[in-house]
Amino acid sequence: MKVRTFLIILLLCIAALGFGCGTRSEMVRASPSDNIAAADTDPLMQKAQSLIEKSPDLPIGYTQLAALFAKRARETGDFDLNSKAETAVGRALELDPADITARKLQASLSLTFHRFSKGLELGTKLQKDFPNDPFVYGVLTDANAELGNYDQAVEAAQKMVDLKPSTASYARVAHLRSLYGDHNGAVEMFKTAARAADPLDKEAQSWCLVQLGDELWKGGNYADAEKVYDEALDNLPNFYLALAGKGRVRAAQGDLAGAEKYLSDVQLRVPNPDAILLLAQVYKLLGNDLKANEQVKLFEAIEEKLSVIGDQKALALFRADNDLKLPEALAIAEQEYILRKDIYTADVYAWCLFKNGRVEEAKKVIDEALRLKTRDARIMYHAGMIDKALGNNKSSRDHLTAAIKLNPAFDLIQASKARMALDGPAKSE
Amino acid sequence: MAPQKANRKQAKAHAMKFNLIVITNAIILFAAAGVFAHPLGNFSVNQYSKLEAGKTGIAIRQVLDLAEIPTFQETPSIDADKDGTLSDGELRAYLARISPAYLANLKLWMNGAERPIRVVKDAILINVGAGGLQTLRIEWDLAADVEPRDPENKINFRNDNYPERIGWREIVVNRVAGVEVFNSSAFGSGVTDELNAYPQESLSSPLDERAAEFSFALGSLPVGAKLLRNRDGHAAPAVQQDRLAALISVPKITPLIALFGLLFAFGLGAAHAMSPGHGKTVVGAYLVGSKGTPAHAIFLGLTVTVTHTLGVFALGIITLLASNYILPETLMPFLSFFSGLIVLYIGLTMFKTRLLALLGAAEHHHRSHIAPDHEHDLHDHVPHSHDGHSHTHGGTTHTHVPPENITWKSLLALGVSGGLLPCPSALVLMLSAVNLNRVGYGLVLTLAFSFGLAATLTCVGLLFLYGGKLFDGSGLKQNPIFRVVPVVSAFVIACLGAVICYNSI
Amino acid sequence: MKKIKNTLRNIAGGLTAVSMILTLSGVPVLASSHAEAPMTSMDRYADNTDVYAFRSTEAGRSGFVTIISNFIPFQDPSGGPQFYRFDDSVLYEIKIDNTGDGVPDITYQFQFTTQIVNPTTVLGQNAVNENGVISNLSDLDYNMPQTYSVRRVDRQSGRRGQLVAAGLKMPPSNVGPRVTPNYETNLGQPAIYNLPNGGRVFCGQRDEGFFIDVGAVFDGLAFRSIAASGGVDTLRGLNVNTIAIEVPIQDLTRSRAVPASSTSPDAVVGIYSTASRRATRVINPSQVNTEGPWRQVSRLGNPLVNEVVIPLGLKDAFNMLEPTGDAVAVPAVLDPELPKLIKFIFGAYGDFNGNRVNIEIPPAPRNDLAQIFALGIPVNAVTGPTYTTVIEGTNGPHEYLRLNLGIAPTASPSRLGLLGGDVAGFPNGRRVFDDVVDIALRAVVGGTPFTPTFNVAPNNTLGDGVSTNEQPYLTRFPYLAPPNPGNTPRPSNFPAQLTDDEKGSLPIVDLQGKLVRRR
Repeated sequence: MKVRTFLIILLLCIAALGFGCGTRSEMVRASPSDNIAAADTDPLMQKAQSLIEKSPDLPIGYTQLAALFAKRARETGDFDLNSKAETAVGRALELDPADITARKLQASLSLTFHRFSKGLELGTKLQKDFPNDPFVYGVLTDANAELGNYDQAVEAAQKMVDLKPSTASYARVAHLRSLYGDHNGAVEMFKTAARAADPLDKEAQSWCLVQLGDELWKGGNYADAEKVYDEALDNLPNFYLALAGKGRVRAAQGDLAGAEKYLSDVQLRVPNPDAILLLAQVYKLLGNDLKANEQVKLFEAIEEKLSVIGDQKALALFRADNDLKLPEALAIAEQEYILRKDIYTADVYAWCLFKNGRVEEAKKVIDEALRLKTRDARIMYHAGMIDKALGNNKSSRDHLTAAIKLNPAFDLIQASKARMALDGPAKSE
Repeated sequence: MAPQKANRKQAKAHAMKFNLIVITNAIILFAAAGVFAHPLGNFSVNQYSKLEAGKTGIAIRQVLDLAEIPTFQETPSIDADKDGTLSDGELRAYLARISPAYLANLKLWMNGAERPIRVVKDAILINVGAGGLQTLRIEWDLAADVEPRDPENKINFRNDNYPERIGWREIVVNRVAGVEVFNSSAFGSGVTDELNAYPQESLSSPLDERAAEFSFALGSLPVGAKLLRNRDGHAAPAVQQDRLAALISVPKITPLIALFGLLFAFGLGAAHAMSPGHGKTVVGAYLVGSKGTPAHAIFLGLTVTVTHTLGVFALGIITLLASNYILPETLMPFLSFFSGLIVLYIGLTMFKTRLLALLGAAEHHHRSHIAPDHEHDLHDHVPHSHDGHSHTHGGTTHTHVPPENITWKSLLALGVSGGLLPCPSALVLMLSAVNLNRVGYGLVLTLAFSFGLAATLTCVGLLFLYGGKLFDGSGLKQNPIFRVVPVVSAFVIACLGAVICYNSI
Repeated sequence: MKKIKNTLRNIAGGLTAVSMILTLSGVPVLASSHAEAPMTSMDRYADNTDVYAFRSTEAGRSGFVTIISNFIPFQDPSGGPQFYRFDDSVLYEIKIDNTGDGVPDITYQFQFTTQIVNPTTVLGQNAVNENGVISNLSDLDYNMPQTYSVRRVDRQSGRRGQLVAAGLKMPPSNVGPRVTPNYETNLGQPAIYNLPNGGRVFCGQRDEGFFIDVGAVFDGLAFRSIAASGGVDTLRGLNVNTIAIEVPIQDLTRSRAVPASSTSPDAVVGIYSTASRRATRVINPSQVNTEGPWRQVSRLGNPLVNEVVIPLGLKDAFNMLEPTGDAVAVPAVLDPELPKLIKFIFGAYGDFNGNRVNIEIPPAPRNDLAQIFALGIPVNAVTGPTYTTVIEGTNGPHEYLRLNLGIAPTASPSRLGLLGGDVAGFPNGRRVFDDVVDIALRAVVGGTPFTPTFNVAPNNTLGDGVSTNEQPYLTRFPYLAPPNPGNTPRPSNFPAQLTDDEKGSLPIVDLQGKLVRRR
């Protein structure tokens, strides 16, 4: 028996030997470097790879490759390329743990992979070593904003934009303004960011435009949002984020057929949980329960089986919205709330508490979600519903009215529930 | 045979073959990333084409590999009866439905004229990927009938399927012996073994080869023609067989490797016989105690060999047949889980006993000769359970009680009982060979293995005969390695069990 | 064998993985909807690639100085109909220090305004009407025109900027003969405006006038050719946006007069160019004016200063630095990495042909480089009593182009400037055809008369193999060739497009002459 394991290994080797000698299974390595399986067609990639070949013990080729992979992941939506970027950065850091470029990329990739605490840690160390590097403050802004440390995020963004006004810093300023409820300021800054973006970097330009569109959508300005998404699509055809935005404004404007077209298109390119759920709602409103159900299942499969614990608030929100598996939804939201205290996590946690009948606690948490006075209709709706359950009729009405006024189609299904809650009989005080 | 039926059978054979791979790999290579997640990201759609110009036409091997999410997106349209599982029939129906559209997007031109592509054979398979989600793999063997002209035939090929999806796109051009391929935009070698092995940890971008062009000639190379190159820059060698002639290409085994394999298998068999079990001590004691002759010993060895070999073949055949009646993909998770549990249990039990045995080596030492026979039982249970037939072999018992006098009949009985329970290692060898389209080689290897086994047994018998009382039956077990290794292996077995269970849920 | 090794490795890995299996964790499988903002985006609008400054050579313009500053590099004309504008939110400036204190005394400010015909677009890139023909600057088919204003700030006469000209038109980019036929006649030359002081101004697209074989020089560790020819101009076929201004000599001097001679105190001026963006208040509770102060994001004087002497860690800082703070960069100039790297590469890898070459380089401190880049070349250094680029009364190291306004243009110029015996060329200002790559390469390894011991082959024969631009320069203002039209085939040798943050640090060479990683 003890020989068995060993034996199996050896037997497999025999098989492999026999198998490997045929032309059929040739695993040819094109490059002398063990890491590179096939020559790239992109000249920049080629260059970085040849640098690695030439000087395999220097980090520079690896960091260039990592930057290129991360860039291409943004452009294509192929998230997997970020893993390649991380592998390359890992190699660079093995060669030289102090390499500044590798350390920066490592920090920003941590955020890409939603390891916000790690990103914050790396960013803080970088700040000690390079206190005047704008990149470092970008990492700090993002990490702090995602973790709910908004004061620190603002401080870092201010430092970043003071050091070097640029698309990167403008976009962060705009994002924070949006969080702090300064809608107009955010719109202006996203425009500035879009105009300052590299005209040869279509992804950077269109990304800023999509952010602008999203901000306009949040403010209920669907027509302008659509124009901006269109411009993003003209600039970078089939950009998946712009297609999703376009689908969303179409749905908000009641053009369900149009929404279906754009959202389905997104599905074929880069499936995105938010877009999938929205498409499910669109199908439901179109009366196609079967297809709606398919989308819901897809959403659940992605969220339940493929996402990481602590990064599943979309699933918790979906369950709470639809009164499904509420205790589980609460557990998911709670888990994430332990990890990060940003307003969106707090919002989902509050909503799950509310749906599980823990209204008093929900009230406390939703107040946290409201702490920045963010103009976000969904948070306002949740606050309104919680207040209603508590009998705070005036406050409830204010929140619900504000939500509907701000973004009447913030959610195709929940928005009508908000309206019903306003019209329906108020709970006696 | 009606073509549909033929297709069905092929698909089944494929599915079966595939699942055997999964089963054996689940045991052996449980850590391979492929078991957990699609190596190319779980929303990739990956495609592979291999073009082979032959004397009578172009053969195309086309593979479509959908990762978890695209597969999930397709599932509603596959699952016709909405029972949540994808039956063989549903998969076939789905393949029949999507094939025409997919193949219409594969375009082949010879000398500028588009040539129709027909399906020779196809198969559709389901695999388990990340989070227990399924992945879908479709394989087509296609052919385009062309009449090559001298001196040169220019082929253009395009794959316009899923243009917008992220994924690996690989095109390979093969050169058949007797045909010259040149001026090719594609390489003569692949990277992924037909999308079976994506480069891991690679720092190059996924391949994005959507079109290819090349020329071929039956005669000599035109002047100035650029030879077909492999990805490493070397000239691509000709493949041995024309795929139209033999669609399952069996890689060549050189005599040296074959010989090496045989010797190796023989050695393994011999080594395996040294492991506890197989009643060596009993055999030896029997021969000694009963005053047997060398002829007896050799006869015993031969009997064991024949029985053992037949046993492996029978088991292999039963496995193959059984998977025709029970859908392997429905059975597999249960079987894996069940067998995983058993392995885990056995591993833990053994670990406990052996550890205790090791710790109290001196006083328990005499008990150790009992253990092997227990092990032998377990030994035989475990891997068989993976193919769903453990119960048929379960209760069989050895008869190791030496009879009073040697008769040829009793020797035969002893030999048969010794060889009747084929060891799982041999079975794995056999199944691997089947997986790799090398049935014949597998049979030969198994035979060699059995011979090795028999040789050891015979030698042990002879040693006992000639060594007489000098050689104590438990002498083999005095070596300290034989005491520590069992503990480690028990632990490994327990881990294996845990992994198999984990993978099946 | 590889496969076997892999198999074994898998198995071994598998066994160790067993214990971790229950805590198996994944990665986010799908990009979240909250994709983060780009961390590094090239600020191409503010990317100042070249500054030229020279006494005008066009007939009849001997009393004038031409200063050119280029932005938005690597414009690929084949990239579809695209209009490259200047960014309305960037302040472009050309600065002149005529007292040597590092503070600009004369500043020309350029600010652009896009006339938004279609106010709904943010970028306006798609506004070109492809069916229309733009035959002049006022053509209605040119439906997203950009105009600009020029201001002159004079430190002596107070800080307020004086408006020199406004409403001047930027020509469209050279989209191609269908949309912009006869580009130079119809659109290029008409965009040259006369200024009230007799000077001229032009802002618009031009052919990239800088010539370099990037592969041969700064592309990783691949110095390519040591010969004087055989290089490939990596930038051929690309366009750039140009700001060119021609002003009377006396507008730049501290005496407000034309210098009497090349050694008179007012003869030498320092010239550089900057681009600035506005900072902003992130959060402003009153939500009124969040517009913050201008921040300099780009700065350029001497060519290749970033590549030759400024180490990576200092590049961002240097771009934000005023010449008054340049002392921090002096150690890098006195002991630069590049020559050591060149020595190593040629010794270890050889030149393009693989011939290993031993190059002896001057030891630190490199006062010769400090003079070229930061201090100016004093009279009688090696160049005789009438040549100097020192600003009299200078108070420290300041990096900018130094132009001696008292030295007249020559009738027989050399592309190697001073190294070619031509006192009217670099490092006395910089003309469009000066081969600054070859000059800089020779200068860093000491192949100049300032370091006679090292002024030998191969030090003084170093070069990138490209000696001139692929398009002939104009002999008249604005001197740079008309832009390549949109139907030009894509240049094959497209250069690197990574930001400094992404490029990574080149290795350095240690005391033993070995290549080591940067610490």
